[in-house]
Amino acid sequence: MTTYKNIHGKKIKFLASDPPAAVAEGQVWYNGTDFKTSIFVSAWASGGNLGTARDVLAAGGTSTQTAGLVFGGGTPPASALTEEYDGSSWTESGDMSNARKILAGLGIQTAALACMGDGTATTSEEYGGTSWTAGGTLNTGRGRAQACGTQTAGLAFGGEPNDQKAKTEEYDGSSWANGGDLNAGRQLGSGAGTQTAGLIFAGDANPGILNSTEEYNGTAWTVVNAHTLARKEAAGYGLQTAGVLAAGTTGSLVTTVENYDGTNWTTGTAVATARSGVTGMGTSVLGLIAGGNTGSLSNATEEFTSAAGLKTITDS
Amino acid sequence: MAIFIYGTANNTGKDFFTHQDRRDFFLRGYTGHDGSNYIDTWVIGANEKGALWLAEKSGTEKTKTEAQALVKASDDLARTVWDNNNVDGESADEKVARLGAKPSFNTLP
Repeated sequence: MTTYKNIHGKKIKFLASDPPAAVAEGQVWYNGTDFKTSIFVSAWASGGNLGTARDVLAAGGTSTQTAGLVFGGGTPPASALTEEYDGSSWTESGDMSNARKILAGLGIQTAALACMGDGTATTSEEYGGTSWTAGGTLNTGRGRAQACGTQTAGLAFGGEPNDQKAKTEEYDGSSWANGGDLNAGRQLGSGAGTQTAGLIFAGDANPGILNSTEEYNGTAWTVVNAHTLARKEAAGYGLQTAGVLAAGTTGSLVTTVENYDGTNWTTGTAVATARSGVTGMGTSVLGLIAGGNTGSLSNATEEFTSAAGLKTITDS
Repeated sequence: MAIFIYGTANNTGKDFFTHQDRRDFFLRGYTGHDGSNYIDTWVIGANEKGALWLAEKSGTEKTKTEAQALVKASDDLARTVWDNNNVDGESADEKVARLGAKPSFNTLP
């Protein structure tokens, strides 16, 4: 009779108890009852539905899968609605002072910022976890822009009108200052990262849907490796070294997800429902997308989880 | 053997499909319309777990032709809304800049 050692040239470990999945990835062992291994698995699951279906909404991009935040959007009239996510369900919170759609958003559930919006708004509003108060006025009124960072160190970039689509502004918690211009101006793009390590990808150069990516270092934007599928109105979130691009439209709605590691883009696990005008938040291992347009306004939420898990090895 | 099952089932939100479901079978959602209401339409991997999922969600199995007709009806509505959204004096390019491109048709796999 052959043995595991005969086949693989080494003995399999005997472990009296299973090690944590995260530290045992790729290993195989016998625990006295079963042969076990640990593999990394990534998947999207449905989350609680938004109270109000809408598209072109914004999120506190660094809010989390268990403490998420969305605001504004099109119902199709511009909406002032805010909803908070607890990992299971969305609860309506205080409305913004101004209804906005195609707006930009950043921050976390207890410290977020909404800015700009359709109609080239220059205003911003700050959310403290319950209600919104007026924030600093931007220098350039824009809609269809992107944002990332925090309420006291924010970054807003791109947008319309077309002659302003390369503009960047930095927020310090009270006022906006001009930053470096994008190399490829765009609207309806996706953003991630921080004020000093920002990331923009996808979008519409008007005309022309983009796959180009740029990194911001606090002063200037640098063109880096492009993602594979050019698209716009996609969800973008994460960090400059762990960015996520999910769904969107190429002219056709897509479910495609791509992940950025700070150098290269790779194809990730697809979302279940293709949609445009969707927003996203969280990290590359625990993410959340919500809302959008699937042909009609969507209230659907999907939660992404990437984690190691223990598996029993069987012969089937 | 068919690769996919087609069906309709209302997306009820949390845990309507789980991470494990997504690992167990292919699942892709579309918006359909039955002439009265929008209806969540699903393309599901044709294995035992996929079929069981649709049954557990009180879904209704459709043929591919039936499912495609539901999705086309929704697409037709979206395209009609786009066609009817006009501003006096607006050029075609300006309309696309304001609304985005006219919605396309979704073709089920």
